[in-house]
Amino acid sequence: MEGENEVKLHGMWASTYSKRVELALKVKGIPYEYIEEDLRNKSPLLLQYNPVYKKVPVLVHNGKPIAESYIILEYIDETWQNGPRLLPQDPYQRAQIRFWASFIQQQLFGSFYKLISSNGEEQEKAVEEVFEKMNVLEKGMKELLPEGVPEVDGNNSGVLDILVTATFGPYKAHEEVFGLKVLDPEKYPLLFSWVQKLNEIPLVKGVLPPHDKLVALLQFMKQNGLKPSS
Amino acid sequence: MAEVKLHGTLLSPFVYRVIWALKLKGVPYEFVAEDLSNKSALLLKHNPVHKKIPVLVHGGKPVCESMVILEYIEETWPQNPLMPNNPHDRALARFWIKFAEDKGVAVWKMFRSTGQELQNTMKEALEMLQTVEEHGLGEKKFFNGDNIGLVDLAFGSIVYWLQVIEDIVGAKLFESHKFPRLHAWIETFKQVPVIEENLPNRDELLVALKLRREQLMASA
Repeated sequence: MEGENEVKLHGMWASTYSKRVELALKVKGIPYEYIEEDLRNKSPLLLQYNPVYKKVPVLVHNGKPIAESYIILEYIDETWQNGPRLLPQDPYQRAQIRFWASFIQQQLFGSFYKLISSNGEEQEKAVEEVFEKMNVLEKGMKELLPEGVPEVDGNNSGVLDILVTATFGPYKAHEEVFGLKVLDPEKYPLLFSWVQKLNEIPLVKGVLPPHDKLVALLQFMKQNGLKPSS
Repeated sequence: MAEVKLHGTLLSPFVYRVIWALKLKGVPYEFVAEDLSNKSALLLKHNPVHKKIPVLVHGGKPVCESMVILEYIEETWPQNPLMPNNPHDRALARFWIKFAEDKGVAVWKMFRSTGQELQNTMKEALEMLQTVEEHGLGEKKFFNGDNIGLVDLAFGSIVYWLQVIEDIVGAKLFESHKFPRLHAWIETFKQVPVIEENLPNRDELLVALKLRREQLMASA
């Protein structure tokens, strides 16, 4: 029926935040229309849907917009209750996931950002910070998943799988452009093996940005001193 | 019922968010006062990642980060709901909670800065207020509609503490003619019985924060 369960996603092909939402929609099997935004020339609709931040991704469900990728994930999980659940039902487990989602967002991404926007001694400090945060994440995930990473496929992926995929899935492109091995298998064996498993899933392969295209964009941004901004 | 403990200090706006949520839900708890210059072994065990307060410990299991704690409280004790019912309004509430977390930082930074940095953080705080005034409240009584909710608690602590911090740093940001909606809202917020009974005394808070700021500046 027209308008009933009409789902649109305003996104950008290289944005890790945008990819989170695409992954969630695909895992849940929700049909949607994708609108690619040119971040240097944002559509009037996007600015209308997200007046506070003017960023992607924005999910529009039956004409109503929702902004902020993690919030969109929880919205998708609450609204489409058929199919795999992205979050557990137990409040304590949900609290743990929200804690780590917040850590990835504020702490880890904060450090990544410092890393790519600094030079010289400041950048060396930023590198140390990134490794420290990765350590904390690795340790946290070990405690959260005492039996190791469960077998993942496109059918039982949860919010953490989605966050890890969107963040680290394209790690080879990041390494190539920034010349830094962040996802080091020796330092972070759990995270590394998790990413390997996730990257094998056909659904994931279909969503993550193509390697060469991403490398080209990141090189361009690096050379022109541009910073990522959705 | 499993035991509930709250680790915190009575100067912290983040701790008060949790106190308000627990009291609004009628959840009995034990308050464990922490000395931030000498954090307890228990606090460090419960929050090894951030080593910060508040930490809620329910049946021995710790929950950290004030807004994560608030959602946990909401989901564990469903009486007197503090979040809207339908998913879209919940997403909107979470948007503003995240905004409060990300942008409210300007107020805490103001407290810790002087000179040019202070000017910069004041500008950030002003922008934050302007966005909330323009987009966040609308004509509603509370952020949550007719009744107080988690978004109100998130902003309540920011604004109440801002009003004190402004005096301390000599700023005049939160003026009533510039922010009529927010001014009306904070008065309504402070008159909610549970909030009124659980707000730190303004004069005492001013004195304590002034001292704290002096200590911070001295050790800088």
